[in-house]
Amino acid sequence: MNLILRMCLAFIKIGAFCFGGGYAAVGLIENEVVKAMGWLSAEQFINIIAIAEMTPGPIAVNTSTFAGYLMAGPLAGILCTLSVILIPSCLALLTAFFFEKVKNNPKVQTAVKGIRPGAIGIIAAAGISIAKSGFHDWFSAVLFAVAAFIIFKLKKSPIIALLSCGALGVIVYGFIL
Amino acid sequence: MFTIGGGYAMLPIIQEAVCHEKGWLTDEEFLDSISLTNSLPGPLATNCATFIGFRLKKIPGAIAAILGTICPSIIIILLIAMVFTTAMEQPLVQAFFRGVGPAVFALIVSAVYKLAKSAKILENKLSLIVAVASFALIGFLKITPILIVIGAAVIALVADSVKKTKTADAQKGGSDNESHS
Repeated sequence: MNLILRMCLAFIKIGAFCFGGGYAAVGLIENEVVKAMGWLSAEQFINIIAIAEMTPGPIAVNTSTFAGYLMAGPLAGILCTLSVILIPSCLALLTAFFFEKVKNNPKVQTAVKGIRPGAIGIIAAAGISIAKSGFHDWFSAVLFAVAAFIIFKLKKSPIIALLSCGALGVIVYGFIL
Repeated sequence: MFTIGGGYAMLPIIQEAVCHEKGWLTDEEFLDSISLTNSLPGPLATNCATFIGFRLKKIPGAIAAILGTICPSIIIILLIAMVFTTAMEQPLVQAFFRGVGPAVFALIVSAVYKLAKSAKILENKLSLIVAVASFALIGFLKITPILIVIGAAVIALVADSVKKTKTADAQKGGSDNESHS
């Protein structure tokens, strides 16, 4: 089957199951594109997340566009993005259409809340492979500590953490190590 | 467009534009649309745009709102992506991304932490078990995350109906005792 078509199908599937915010989508994309299909390497995927986080717009959309582009060019980037929002948008349309009927459906609320712990597992599992290929040496541990300090202690935006660690990387890996 | 940091950063901006500047929806209608689209899979921003677009101008409105939300992102990312491969040949750019790797892991940790807090997994044993089991099943047994999503939803529904029958029984028992006394 044509590669772009297979990618579209993969992203339609990802879109249909990404409950729990942008990083749930990141976890699902990682699982499909890096682990299951091997279309991108783990290193490439880390760079994609970093750039998706630093640019405006929904993280799931940014990640899909970038991943699609790196796999098969600009058309693939656009098609992967449309694929990832296809099913969610159709569901949003149905919700808008049957607004009064679905307004307070307790079953749906229970199921969606129940998925959240599952989403935690999905993101954490993607975290293992990201840690594996994101850590190179002892200085990586220092950078992780710096990023965690900026995010958790200083409560600054993730972008500041990414830029600070990038700048330290340039200094240390570019000129010292 | 000006929504670095994901869906929730976007909501106040959409609310300001849609409810106050343009007067398309009331604040209450807007909040309803959020709580509904929040239960759907996929990016909150595009779901919200679809929903509001449809309520205002039916299908064309929905399509216009979706395109308006994703086009700026797609264009920016495509532009970055085009220079990315060439830029990665520079040793200093490589050094930058080598430094960024551990920070991305910190972002993942922070996403897990936030979601764990909002799902209150430390206060709810079942949620904690589901979270740890999902992690182990995907990370070590290579189970597809899709089964995890379906499984977690089913577990929540079953647990909920078990709880309801229990409270119903307890209430029934309670009223029996009262009638005896």
